[in-house]
Amino acid sequence: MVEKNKILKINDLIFDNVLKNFNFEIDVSQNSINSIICFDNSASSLLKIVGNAEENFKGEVTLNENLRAIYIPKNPSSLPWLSVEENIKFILENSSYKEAVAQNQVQNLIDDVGLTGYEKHFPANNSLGFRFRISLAGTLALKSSLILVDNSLKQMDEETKFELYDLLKKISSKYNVSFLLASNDINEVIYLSENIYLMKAGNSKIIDKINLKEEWQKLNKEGRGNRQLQLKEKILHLFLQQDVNNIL
Amino acid sequence: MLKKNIFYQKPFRLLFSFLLVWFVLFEFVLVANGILPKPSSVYNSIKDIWGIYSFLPNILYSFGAITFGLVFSVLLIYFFRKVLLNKNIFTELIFAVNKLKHFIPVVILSAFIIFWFNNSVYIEYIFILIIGFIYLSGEMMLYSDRTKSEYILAAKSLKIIDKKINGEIKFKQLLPMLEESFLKLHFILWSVLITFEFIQHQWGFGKIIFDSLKYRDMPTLFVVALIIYLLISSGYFIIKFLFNRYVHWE
Repeated sequence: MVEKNKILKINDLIFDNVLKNFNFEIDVSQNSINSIICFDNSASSLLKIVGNAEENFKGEVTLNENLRAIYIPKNPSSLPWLSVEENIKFILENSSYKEAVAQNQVQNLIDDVGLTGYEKHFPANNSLGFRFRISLAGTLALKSSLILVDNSLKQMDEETKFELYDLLKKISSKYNVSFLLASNDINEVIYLSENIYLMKAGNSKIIDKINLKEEWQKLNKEGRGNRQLQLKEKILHLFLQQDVNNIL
Repeated sequence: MLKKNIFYQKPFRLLFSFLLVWFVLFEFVLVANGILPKPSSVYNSIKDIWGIYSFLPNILYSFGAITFGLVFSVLLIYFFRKVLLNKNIFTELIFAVNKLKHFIPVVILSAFIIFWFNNSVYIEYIFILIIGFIYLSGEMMLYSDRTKSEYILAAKSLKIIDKKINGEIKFKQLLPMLEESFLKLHFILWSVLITFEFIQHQWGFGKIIFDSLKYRDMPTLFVVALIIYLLISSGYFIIKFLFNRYVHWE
């Protein structure tokens, strides 16, 4: 039962001076949002490798059977020459993943990511939230069970970010998918995640793990805001102990 | 730089202004001169130009060569896009040939082609097509390193088939970057074409220019220059329109 929950296992991962014999076992149970916080590109590299977007690495990445991890890059990746609907259909028609939603369910995906009425719209370059929603619909079209989000929300304004936080939570519960986010925004990961993993380039393992579910359960009279501040300080302290000095 | 240039921003207004100045200056002030023809003498000789120099067939021949060269070089680029976007012997060869433009003037190349295929009607079309294809291939290979990695990363993660990654995702990203190259190519092809026809002296604008120089026929030379200017400017706007309409999706 415990083993079933541990869907992602990484052994002796070596990649481009960023990951050096990195070992990681992440407890991403179905229907959860977890984050890796780091201030270099190690988490980004890790997500690319797990999502099969990067091939030049050494080591072993194991995902539980029937689990599909799909990577959403930091910058918009929906194809600008295709409309919202065409983007999703392009993925369905050209992916070598066999299992996917039926063509007639595309509209449901568009509705669920909040793009109802924009089916024929083309993604403009500057609408980051819009394009993220298309990418998200694309991953759901292929029935992904683990969606890897690489700092995609970083450049968005606060309002869009909070809309998307809610969207991720809604999608996670409706589609029974897990999210693994790479982020350098401490507030974001505290707000969204069940578990936070602290990571630094060159380390062979994660710096620490914080289980936020437990942290929130510990709340008594103490307000959530205060606890959030304490957690932020704790995370900063842990990074400073590791000589990480480029904290944003 | 190219877009900010007044010649490219308002070519027709510029032409109109020039014609106005020319009309006033050369019709009424500098009546007898060896610089530009008198407007009334151009008007009077248009009928002769049309007949003696076989103006229409020659214009159509040159215009056809340019259109053929541009359209078919684009079709060839599209057809070979998957090959051109990967490093292989073919792309290395095209890259090497493309580099020759820095060392061999097109006049020399044209002279050899004409020497080998002296009486061929089609060689000009083929020559223009080859130049267009090699130029665009070189530009495309040059720009291929500037494509955005996020599209490829996302496509790989979504397990999009390789054929589509090269044939559509990489290629379509490159298209907007090729606009400037295409405009340059359009102008280059006109220059090459006129040079080629001038040396070959059989058809086209080059032949008319050759003959008008031979007979010291200033009105014809002037009319040819105006028509070439109009065709190049129109071509420039058509290319811009097509790129804005179909390619600039971002």
